[in-house]
Amino acid sequence: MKKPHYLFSSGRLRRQHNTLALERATGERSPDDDPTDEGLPSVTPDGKNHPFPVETVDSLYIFGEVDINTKLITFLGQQGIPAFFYDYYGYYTATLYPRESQLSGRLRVDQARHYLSPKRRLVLARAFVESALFNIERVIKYYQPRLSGDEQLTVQKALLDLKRDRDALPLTVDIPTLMAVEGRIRDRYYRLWPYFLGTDVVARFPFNKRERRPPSNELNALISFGNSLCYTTVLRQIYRTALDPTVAFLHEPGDRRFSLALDLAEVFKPLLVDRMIFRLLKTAELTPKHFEKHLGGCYLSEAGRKIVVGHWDERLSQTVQHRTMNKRVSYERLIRLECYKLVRHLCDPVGEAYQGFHMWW
Amino acid sequence: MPFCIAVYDVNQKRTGKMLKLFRRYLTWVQNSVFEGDLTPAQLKHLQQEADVLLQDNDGVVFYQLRDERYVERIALGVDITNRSRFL
Repeated sequence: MKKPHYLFSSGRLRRQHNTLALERATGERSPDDDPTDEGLPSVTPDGKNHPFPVETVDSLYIFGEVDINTKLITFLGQQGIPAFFYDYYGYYTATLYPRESQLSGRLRVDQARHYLSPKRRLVLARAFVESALFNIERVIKYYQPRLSGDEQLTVQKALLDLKRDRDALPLTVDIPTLMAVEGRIRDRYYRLWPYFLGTDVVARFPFNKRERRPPSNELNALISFGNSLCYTTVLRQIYRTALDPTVAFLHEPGDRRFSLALDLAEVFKPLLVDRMIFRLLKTAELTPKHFEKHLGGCYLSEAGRKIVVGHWDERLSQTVQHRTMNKRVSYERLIRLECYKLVRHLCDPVGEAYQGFHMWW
Repeated sequence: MPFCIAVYDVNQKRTGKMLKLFRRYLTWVQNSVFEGDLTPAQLKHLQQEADVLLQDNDGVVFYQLRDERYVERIALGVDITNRSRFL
């Protein structure tokens, strides 16, 4: 089966004998925004050449400083391998998205039609928010019984608020309100995190509020990095379907980004990203030394990124028993199934309406 | 996930061709020995492509295991194999 490959080393990635090969570099890379940088490779590929089987590559995650050329781009395009690039600080910067191979004009028209009709668009946007909130609730409910005293009461109260907001969703009439509801709940939810993480972890990683651009502390850095992994994973699955990743329903279909991936990622973040963060911090797999401060922000170090990505990869292949399909499916597969559900909703207006993914465990 | 070990013995003139072909699908272990996970369809592809290259007294042997869990791999001396997806 094809699987994602993660490139942490720097060097040159190239097509060699119709397969992929990474010529490793041995030196230390310099930051992308180094004032003396002329845009040339800061390391030379003088290390070992490492060919790896292209037929088993599903996608490439490039965290190192890697040189590529058009021959490689052409090759990746032919093989249908998307590549995701991250900068020196671990920020997601770009996707090399191969020519669409799974095209369906009918679906594209349907997708645009659902976007253009405010009523239809609202139905979908609401479904995304609804299932995102449901999954957040699931995460909270998991931790609630483990708390005691005041903490439990606060969580209880937050849970009630969340439920009230979720019940009021059908009354929302426009997208900005939906976004506001979602944002408010996420905000409240993040404020509960110190309780979930426990005093030990909070002593090491203080956290009070979600901040981006740049992430202000370790936890914010972790959330940002986790979300970007989630986003690319969803995009990878969308790429395998005929959906157009730029036409979204909850987020505004903007330029320069794949908004549909943002919509779907919203649903899976609580399940995949948030639980991963709790796990990594509670087991102390990540410690403060895995973070670095740069330019007024906080970022994961390379070693930290490796840990997170390794864990992420493992998590995606974990399976759960699917209720209606009556077989075990991996978390990654769940995302693909979500895409198919969306396709069905878009193509078949009289059939069952799209219902976002709800965690059932 | 099916696990596969492939071994070929071909005329010197064709070792290069074989190496290039097998590297696309599997990880190189030693001269003319490869291993890796492949789906049944991928394995079929590889076998067909290899079959085209064969001439005279050439031969390829595929060992297939139903799952990698059934493999116990012991390497003595130098083991250059790196099957990690984290490069």
